[in-house]
Order: sequence, then structure tokens, then C-alpha cells
Amino acid sequence: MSEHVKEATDATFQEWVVEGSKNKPVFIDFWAVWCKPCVAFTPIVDEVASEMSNEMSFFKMDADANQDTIQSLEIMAIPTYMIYMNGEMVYRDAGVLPKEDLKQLLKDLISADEQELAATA
Amino acid sequence: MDNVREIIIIGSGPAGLTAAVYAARARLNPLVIAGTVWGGQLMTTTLVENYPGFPEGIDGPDLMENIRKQAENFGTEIINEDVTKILLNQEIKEVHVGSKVYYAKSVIVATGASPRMLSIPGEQEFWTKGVSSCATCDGAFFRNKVVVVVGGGDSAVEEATFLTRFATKVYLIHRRDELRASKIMQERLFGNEKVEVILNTEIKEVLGTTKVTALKLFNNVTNEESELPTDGLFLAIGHIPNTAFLDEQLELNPEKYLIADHGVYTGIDGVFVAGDVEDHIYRQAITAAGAGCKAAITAERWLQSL
Repeated sequence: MSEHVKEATDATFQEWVVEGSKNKPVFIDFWAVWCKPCVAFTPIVDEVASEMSNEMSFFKMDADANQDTIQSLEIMAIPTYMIYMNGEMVYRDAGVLPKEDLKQLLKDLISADEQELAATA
Repeated sequence: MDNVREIIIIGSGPAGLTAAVYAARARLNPLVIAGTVWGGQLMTTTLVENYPGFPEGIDGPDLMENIRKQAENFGTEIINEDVTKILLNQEIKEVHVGSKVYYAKSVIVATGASPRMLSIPGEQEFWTKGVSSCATCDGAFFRNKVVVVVGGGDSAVEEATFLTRFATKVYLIHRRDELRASKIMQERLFGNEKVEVILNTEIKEVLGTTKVTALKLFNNVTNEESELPTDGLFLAIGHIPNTAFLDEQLELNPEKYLIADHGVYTGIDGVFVAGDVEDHIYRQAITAAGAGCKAAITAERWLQSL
């Protein structure tokens, strides 16, 4: 696994992802070893994480081993990915994104968040 | 130009990667542009029982890993990215992948086909919220639930059988009065007590709240409408060819399949096709692999003739 993508679990999800996003935006990818599109997505997430680790924290979660989180988030398809900011989920989708599209999405969400913060400051 | 390759192969299913094996052995140094999700339709299937040489069957993803390794062993270069633009109507063809451009004297188009949608109300709204086209990816989220598979071919029957590992009940819904799937797969399906087959029935709408809860059905013999409670809907109603990226540079039939002489030659010199992007009849792993072989040999001979 990439050094920039940490493995979240049922036990750490709330602290690392939800609470952690209050300090720094969070990307999380839900995957499973039997899901080939997920396996194709993993190196893309790894690459984006290594290029954007200053701006964002990156996690992945094994959908097979973490049923509590999977069920509470009503995940019914993988790969599903979510972006958390300021303690809230701000974006959710499923499927594989090409690297450049994923980077663009994350940059757009981060800059929208910064503009909102500036407007309310 | 010194960066012009002999051949670029677009697509990485059985057709594209078999073409790569042959082209690499012909020392054409092929580049395969495999797509973000490489491997084609077999990557989301389970056991493949009809590919010769595997008497016990082989898992679709394992078969594709094997063919990929075989192509790489002979020197094929593979990149897991999508073609964003292509220019074929010129002596040196251009294949764009984002801002990068690859040049080649010849191109094999082996981009296959993607799952067809029903195009009914609710399908998009509940996509990934109970509606799926990948039972092997998403089936495990339907443990102890009720699911519906729609379709009548081998894929539909395989998915329905696979989903009985997780679901308590699997309905297979098909609009015709009999299934098209091979007899051996039908026998297995009908022998599975978790499965109920509903024929002569069309799905008109996906119903739900935050996720799928039911389907609106229409019986096309009795004209009766009904609702069937379900937690999931898996689509297996065939495929549509991946030809949109060609921007009409090659001739397509009304269903958007490529038209090719002998299943290989396009209307443009040096551009060849292979697999499900052209074949709307057989659509098997073995026929796609055979087509990839034919396209590579044809391309090799055409390159020699230059």
C-alpha cells in the first residue's frame, strides 16, 4: 500500500475520517479484493495521494472487513469514494475515475471549500 | 518523426491482448492502451467454463491476468489509461491520451462493449443504490436480501446463479417467453431453489426512497402491471459497443458496431478491428481472442507490404 493512503477500519473511521476532516480534507475509497474495478482504482488513488498529500488525507477501507461502516453509509456498490470536509461528507460517487479527473475533482472541492471559508471569515 | 510505432492496440480484453501476443512475437513492439479499467468484460465475470484448455474452468480475471502476462513476456508495453481522441484518416495515426500523443503506422481497435442500460425511470437515480451492472463487485452487499437480475442470456443466468451465494431470493426477469442462455447454464439455474424465473415481463420503473425498494413490472402477455419488492436490480441485458471515441471516422452499423470486411479490415488503410466492438453475433472470449489473432497477423502483413 502507498505510504500516503492509510487503511481505515470500523474502529478508526469516526476519528480519522469524520473528525480528521475538521483539520484537513479527507478522501476515502471503499474497496474489496474481489472487485476488479476496485483493484484497478487502487494505483490511481495511490498516485493522486502521493501528489496531493499536503492538501488532503487519503484513506481506504476494506468493504468486506468493516460491515458496520458499510451498512451505516448504505454502501451498495464499490468502488465507492467519499470526500469529507469540516466533519461532513461533501461528495460521494461510485466507479473508477481516471487519475486526472480525480485530481481535478479534489482540487475543485478544496478550492470551493476555501472560498466558502473566506466568505464566512 | 522517430517516435512512430509500428502498431498501437486500443483495448485490453481477450481481443486486444491476444493481438498484443501476436504483434509482440512478430517484433512489432506493440503499445496497448488498456483503459483505466483494463481487462474487459471478463474482469467482472466468475468462472469461464468454455474457454478451451481449462478443463476445470478458469476465473475470468485470472484468464485475463494470464493473457496480459503472456503479452508482456514477449515485450508488449501496456498503459492503463483511456484514449481521449484519435486521428485515423492519415498516414501516421495519432492516439491521444489526455495531453500525451502516441503515433503509429497501424492501429487495432479492440475496445469491446459496455453494459447496456434499461433506460427506464429510476434507473439513474438509484444507480449504485441498489442498481448495478456488476454482480461480482456488488453482490456481497446483498447478503440475506432479495435481488432481481434482468436479462435472458448467459450473463444474466450466470449473475443470477452467482447472486444466490448472498441473496435469500433471486428473481430472473426476462421480456421474452424463453431464455437465450446455453442449456447447461439454464439447467443449473432451474435446479437452484433460491431462483425464480419470471418470463414475458418488462421492468418499467425502479422504485425507492434512498435506495431501491421495488420494481414496477409489466406482463407483456396479460398486459397486467404489478410491483415486486426487491433490494437490488442487476442489469444483464447485453452490451453496447465502445465506438463513440472514434468520432465517426470508421463506418458503423445502426447499432454502432464497427463494420469490417472479413471482421478485420476497416475503410482506412492500416486500421484494423477485433472483438466485440465489431462482432455483434458471437461475442465470446474465444471468438474475441481469435479475432485479435487475425487482426494482428493482418496488420503484420500490411506493415510488411509498406
